[in-house]
Amino acid sequence: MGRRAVHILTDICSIGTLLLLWYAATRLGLVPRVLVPSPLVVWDRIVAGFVDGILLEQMASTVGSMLVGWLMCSLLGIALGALIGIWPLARRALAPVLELFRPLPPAAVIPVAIAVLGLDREMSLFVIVFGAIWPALLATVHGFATVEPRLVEVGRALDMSRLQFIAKVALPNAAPDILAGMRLSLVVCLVMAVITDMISGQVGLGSLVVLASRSFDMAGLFAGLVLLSVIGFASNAGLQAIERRVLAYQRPS
Amino acid sequence: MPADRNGRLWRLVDPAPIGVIALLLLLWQLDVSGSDFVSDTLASPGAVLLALGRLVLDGDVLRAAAATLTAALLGMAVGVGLGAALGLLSGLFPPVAAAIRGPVVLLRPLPAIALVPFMTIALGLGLAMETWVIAFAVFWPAVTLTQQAVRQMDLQLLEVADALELGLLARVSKLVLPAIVPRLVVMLRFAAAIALLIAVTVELVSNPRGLGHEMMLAAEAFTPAPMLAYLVVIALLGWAVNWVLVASERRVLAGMRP
Repeated sequence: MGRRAVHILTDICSIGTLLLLWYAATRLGLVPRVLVPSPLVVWDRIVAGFVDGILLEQMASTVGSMLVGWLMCSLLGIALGALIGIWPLARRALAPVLELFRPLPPAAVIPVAIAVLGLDREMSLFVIVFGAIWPALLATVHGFATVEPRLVEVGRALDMSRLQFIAKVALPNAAPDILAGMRLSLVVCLVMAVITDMISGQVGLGSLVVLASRSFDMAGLFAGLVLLSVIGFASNAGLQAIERRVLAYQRPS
Repeated sequence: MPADRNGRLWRLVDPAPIGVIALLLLLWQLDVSGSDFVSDTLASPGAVLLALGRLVLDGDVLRAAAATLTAALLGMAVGVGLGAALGLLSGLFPPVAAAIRGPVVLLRPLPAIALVPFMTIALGLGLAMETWVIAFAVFWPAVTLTQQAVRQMDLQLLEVADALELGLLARVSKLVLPAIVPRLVVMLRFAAAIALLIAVTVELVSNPRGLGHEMMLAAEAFTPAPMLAYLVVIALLGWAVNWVLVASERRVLAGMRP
């Protein structure tokens, strides 16, 4: 634990230095002040936005889309991945088709989704899931494909049904892969939530950043960026902590 | 990571996936022709193909694709160049690694696309803005992957460098870089995929150039056929870039094998 404490301490120091550099640069006029506001101004803006609730609402909307999208990505991705992993015909039929859709930039699906589904929450969710399902899906397929062959034999010897095999052998075995994939999915969900906000103009930090820039409200723009990076950082760190705890059984003690 | 399954499109002769695709196309066709009114949201597969042909003949597609690729390449050059340099430094010197870990963890999850409004104010719309957004997106993976590559290098090589009393520059160019080439190639493929993705997205969001912009124009004009045609082109470009990278990666790695 001592090393972890040192890690955290150095991280705090380096991030603090970064903030100080930002402050110094605006203070000394190294960057044009119309372009980059001082961190203090941005901080005031964040506090004010939380007090009057506008920023809070936008943040809640983005985090909400991100989390709901992530849950759907995880459920669908694991289900589809398990199907492909356990059933050879599904693998043969679906894997190449998925391969066809995967390199598509998810943002390019947004105009089509708006045309077909309309400008609403469902459209955003569809796009988020389309863009962010891949890590969870591929990780599940990979985890299922790498089940120890002897475990497969054990399953056969015990006359396990397919469902039993999935629940008792394949899923626990694939858990590290799946959790890592889910963590990646969450990062992509945040990106996709922001992009759909920006393109469709729905309430959220993405459209906040766009609107702030249109009125040259640099403090508001930076407040949005700071909150986005805090959300990304916090969700990633949170999932890493969960991962460590859940996977404790896999580590030889 | 299962990223090594990339680019295996050549099992398409299998009837099972072709059946699935045929089913999807049929559903699409039925959905379009099933409605009585003239749809301004979706076009039939045939109409899309026709629109695609027209765009190719006009040269619009080529111009737009060239604009998108230029930005992706420039952004990748800037982002990978800066990122790999920082990654090398932090891989070789643990204090540097400790100093940048916090900022990397904080800034890496920031969606690059969210920087578009700021970059637009700073640089205006156009190639420069798109390049820097792509560079930002590519920078972080370049830093981390290069750093990891250096870290996982054979330590004996560094001892050799110590024994030969090589300077930093000689050490990097003669020992470190050759040793990490295979990992750098993988990093480049990853970066290229991100660069193309971000380029198209920046164009969709606001930048008036390239494939993404053309697609958005078609969508805003309620002309679904060219819109979907551009979607197909974007997908094709993605596959093509991926295919080229996988092929060249294989060639480079095969050439490295003793």
